[in-house]
Amino acid sequence: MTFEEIYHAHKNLVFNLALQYVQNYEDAEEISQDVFVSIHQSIGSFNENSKLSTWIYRITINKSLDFVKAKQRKKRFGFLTSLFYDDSNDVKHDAPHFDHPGVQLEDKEGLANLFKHINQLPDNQKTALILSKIEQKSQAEIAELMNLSPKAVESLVQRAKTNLSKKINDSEGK
Amino acid sequence: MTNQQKQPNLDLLERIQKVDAPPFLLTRIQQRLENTYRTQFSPRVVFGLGVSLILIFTLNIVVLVKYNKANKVETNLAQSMNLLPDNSLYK
Repeated sequence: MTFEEIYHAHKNLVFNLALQYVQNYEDAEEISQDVFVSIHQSIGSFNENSKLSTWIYRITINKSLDFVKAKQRKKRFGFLTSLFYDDSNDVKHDAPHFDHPGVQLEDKEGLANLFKHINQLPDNQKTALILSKIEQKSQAEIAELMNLSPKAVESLVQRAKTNLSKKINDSEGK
Repeated sequence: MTNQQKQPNLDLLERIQKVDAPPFLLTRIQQRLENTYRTQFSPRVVFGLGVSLILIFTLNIVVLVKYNKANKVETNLAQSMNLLPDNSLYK
């Protein structure tokens, strides 16, 4: 398979998965570029005994998590630099914005609020939840993607739901 | 978790629809790849480095050969006059 063939076969998979992590079009596009550049550079090391889509899924998950962490670091650094620079109207760092193109208008507010809490979950819980509830993967598929046992995946998803409940209820003051 | 805690409505997540990847994504990826490889493996840089290394190597060989020849000539001359080939006063 040529690189172009790999790209056309997997571009929507990569872009949509990245969207679930960042919930906006521009960031998901940037992550997708990172993923395919990485695929191009490391296709030689791909073990042909495993599925190509599984490998691409893993790269996308890792690149998405790295992107989110880098953005959080930039945000923290932006706060520090604002203490030392002159007060001006310049935007020192990008504010997060919910602009998920796959979300219907009537669901936007509810999902924006939900993702606000999902984004605070630990990486592995967030990934398990995204793969389970949005990507609609089975426990066995998630276990293969995350290199875990199905039991571990079940536990992760359950803990994610529990944590989400706590965060939502705390934010609503219940 | 207590019974009073509200369960998150995760069914909303299942309503998220899949969308198409951006139309010019491949072009942008190809541009990035080109820029990456152009910086790393510029033909001019590689050629320049190669020529420099060959020149330095050749120069070193020439200097070594000339030094060895000169050394030999001096030794032969000194020996034919029954003199020491170096500057030491005492043996």
